[in-house]
Amino acid sequence: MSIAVQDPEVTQPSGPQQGRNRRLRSSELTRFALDIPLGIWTAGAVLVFLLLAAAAPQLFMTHDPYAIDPSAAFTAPGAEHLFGTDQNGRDVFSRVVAGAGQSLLIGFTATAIGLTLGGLLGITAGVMGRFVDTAISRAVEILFAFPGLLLALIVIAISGTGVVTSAVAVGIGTAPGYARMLRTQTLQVVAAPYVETAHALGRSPAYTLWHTVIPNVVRPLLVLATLGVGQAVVWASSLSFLGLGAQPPAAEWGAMLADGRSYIQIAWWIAVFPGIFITLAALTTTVVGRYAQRRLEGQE
Amino acid sequence: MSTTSTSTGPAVHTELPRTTASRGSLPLVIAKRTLGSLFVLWAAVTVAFFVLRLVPGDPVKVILGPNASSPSPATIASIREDFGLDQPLVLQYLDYLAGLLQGDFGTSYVYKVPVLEILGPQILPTLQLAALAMVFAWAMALAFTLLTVGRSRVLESVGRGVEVLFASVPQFWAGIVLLVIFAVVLGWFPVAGNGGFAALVLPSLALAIPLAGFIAQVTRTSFEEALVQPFVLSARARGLSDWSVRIRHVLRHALLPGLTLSAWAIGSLVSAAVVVEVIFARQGLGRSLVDAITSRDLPITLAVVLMIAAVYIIVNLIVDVLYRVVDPRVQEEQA
Repeated sequence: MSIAVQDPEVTQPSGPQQGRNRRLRSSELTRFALDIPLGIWTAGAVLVFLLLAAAAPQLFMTHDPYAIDPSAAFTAPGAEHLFGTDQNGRDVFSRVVAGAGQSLLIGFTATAIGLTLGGLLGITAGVMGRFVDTAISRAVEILFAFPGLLLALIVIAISGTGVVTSAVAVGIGTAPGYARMLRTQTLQVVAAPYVETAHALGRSPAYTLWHTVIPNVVRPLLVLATLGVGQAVVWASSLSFLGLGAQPPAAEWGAMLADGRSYIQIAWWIAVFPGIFITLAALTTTVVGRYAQRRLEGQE
Repeated sequence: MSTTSTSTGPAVHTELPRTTASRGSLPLVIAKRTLGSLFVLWAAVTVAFFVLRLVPGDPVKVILGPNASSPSPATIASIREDFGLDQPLVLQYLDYLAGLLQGDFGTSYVYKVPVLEILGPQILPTLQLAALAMVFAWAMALAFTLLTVGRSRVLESVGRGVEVLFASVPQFWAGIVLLVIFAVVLGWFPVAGNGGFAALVLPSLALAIPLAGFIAQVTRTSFEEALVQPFVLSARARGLSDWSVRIRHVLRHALLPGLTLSAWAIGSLVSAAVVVEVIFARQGLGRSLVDAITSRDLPITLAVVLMIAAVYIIVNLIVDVLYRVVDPRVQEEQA
């Protein structure tokens, strides 16, 4: 599997004689931009909005997300309250925006933990081979017997509820998947011709490992991380929804959903809008991540 | 072998379950795989048992309940004895294993009755939920595949788009939206509860939607591959209609990867049922698990974890064996 970006079009000289394709005349950057399908642009734009909301929520918030106003409780979505208000009269839109920071931070932290643990296990197994590989593969197989959220729930059972523990729990819950994937990746890299070349050139195993194998295993991680963040956001908000992660007054998407479930029959908007944002986070990271993956693998 | 894994990412987990050594005749392979699964099952029990002992706090406090005033040392000692907590950890473990072999999951800390008495009535609702979800998921996935793969560009991209959307929808949000539309606004289904088939439809749909997205993505790829095989051309040359080519020839080749994914998915369906059961206020193993974690009822937590793990391991074993029976090529590739 090729890891380098190999876009034949990019390597062609972009002279004026190639007038057939107008895109070739414009600068590299514009061409790069035009190559990206509209759907990816939309997903990217939403993702940027989510990240902005996470970094600087005051840019978008119309109200104080924690300000209680009982007289305005259960206001339907409208001009004053874009997404309506909840049972305490808090502005749902501002709360959803305020929640982006916490939800995405948990997602990123969990993914980082999962990738680190999974990477340590998977790369060690792939590089060492033999009984180390067998032992790690067996261990990962056993962890797979606790599918989906179950592993994260076990961690929560031990560590107690809370925001930090839910990030750690989701990280550990995703680690076996990453370990398996990175093991496969490492095995492919170790068997690749360029590693054989490095050996033939007389480079020491340690040098080859550090300068040839590791970079080629780690490079696709960026894409894996993008894909993983969306899933981690979903899992972490599931835990909060169950009351095992972030706790209610917090403006966290899962906790808001749990709040809204109680009022579903009179005020659907309290639960539906945080849910839309969880779905958007998962959807956009998946779409952008997969596109990046296809580009990296040279399929597009 | 699992090249699909890298293109779908961790969010999807579409990797084929890793199969272990598999040389030799079919009965021998089945025996080996069964032994391997038994080993994994035993290891899962062991890991879960010891890991869950790390739960902080004294179990005696949980057993006494939150309202207990400071108990006398004699009471504490007698409780420890009753629940076997006075014995060394290794002995407790061996006791637990021996109990498991007789179908005894221990005694609940909170309810003080055998765990199975509490969990017994919860098993069937969860299994029904997971089974119906699987049926819905396959129905949707097959519909997407048969209707959109190898059709016009527009239909193809619609199919792909819907699949990615479905696969990204978290079960609990799907549940909320279904609730709002079909229970609150339209009033076709009950908002909550366990009452019969009608109460089962929305929760299983909520579970089925993301799963349908995953299965359809996998089936689409293999369907696309099968569609360009020579046997399809020969079937068309014999004058078969498009639909009969698709259903009778192509589909059979395209089903296997989806089947493997389903085996993986059954485990995660049962654990995703946790969330859906809470949303729809249904009885079930998932809700028992969340309640047990919150109330620190270790024996129930352990029992539910083990039941889900056992379902996952057994279903994977069955599918692995079926896979070899259905497609003998698997064996050659593995050898």
